Amino acid sequence: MKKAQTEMIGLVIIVILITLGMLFAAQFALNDDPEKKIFTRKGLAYSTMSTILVTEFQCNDNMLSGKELLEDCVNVELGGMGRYSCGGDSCEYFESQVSALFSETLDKWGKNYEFTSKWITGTEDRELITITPKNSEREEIANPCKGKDIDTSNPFPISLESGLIQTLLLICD
Amino acid sequence: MKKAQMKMMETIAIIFIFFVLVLFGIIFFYQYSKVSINERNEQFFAERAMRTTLKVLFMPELICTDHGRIEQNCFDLQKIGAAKEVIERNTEDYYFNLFSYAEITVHQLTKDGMMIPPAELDANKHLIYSNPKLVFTKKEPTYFILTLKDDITGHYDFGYLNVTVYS
Repeated sequence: MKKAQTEMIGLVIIVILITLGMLFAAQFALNDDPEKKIFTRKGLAYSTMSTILVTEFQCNDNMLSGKELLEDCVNVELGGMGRYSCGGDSCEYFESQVSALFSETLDKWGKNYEFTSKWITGTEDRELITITPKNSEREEIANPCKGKDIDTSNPFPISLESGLIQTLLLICD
Repeated sequence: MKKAQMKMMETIAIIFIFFVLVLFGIIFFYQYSKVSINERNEQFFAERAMRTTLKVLFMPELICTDHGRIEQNCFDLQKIGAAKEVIERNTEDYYFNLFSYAEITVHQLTKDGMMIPPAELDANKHLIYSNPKLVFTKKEPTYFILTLKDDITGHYDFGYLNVTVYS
């Protein structure tokens, strides 16, 4: 074997060693989300959603669950008066109460979220309520979970004669 | 310098470079081991936080039942009141084995359908278990949102569970 060939082999070995080292370092640096983080986000999204629908809010002399307020919100969306008026219509009341609860919990824990409630019929989807975190000027942030690790509560359906209400909560870090 | 001396110098230089490379390898491996051990410790700690939270979420002393049926993500306010004393009395002989060094609190945010004013939130905080480590290296809080059922009025309020574990 000529001297030039031997040197070439040496160079190839060095390149292979450097590549292996870089792969090793990359594997070390690119860590997956820890299991606990995923569990917390997923569990939190589900528990928040189920709690919101069961929690009762006082509306004049009535105690109405989140689910009942959403059902009444559909009547408002259909152009009717709605059965309940709690300082505003059911949609506004639900939104204000849930926003206040989120600002005491998810906002304080530094979680981003997107709560959506849709009314789905055979022919159309209509957005009823969307709640997202607010910025320093108290304006809602659009798409707060875009490009982040998201976990979802999975859709919570509420069956109505006129269609279906589908609520969903996305939580991201 | 003679040819043989030149060869000798070359060999010494190669051996020197070889040992420098070996040294780099040892330093790198040592650092990697140190970081991976720390990471594993952190993982164990995070798993402990997770396990403790799950234990609390399914404690029969706290969860709501409706004619024997378990209501998910729900704590009974009357049970919370009663459990506090029982847990405090039996911390050393039973609950320490379950939760170790931790602090478990339930925070109530609504009462009878109304938001509790911020100034009164502390008064509506229920301490379930308190055994914090005085000198700790790490502290990990985990939060879970819950329904709080008042079995006397039958109302469901909004609250959250805070489980903080120490190591």
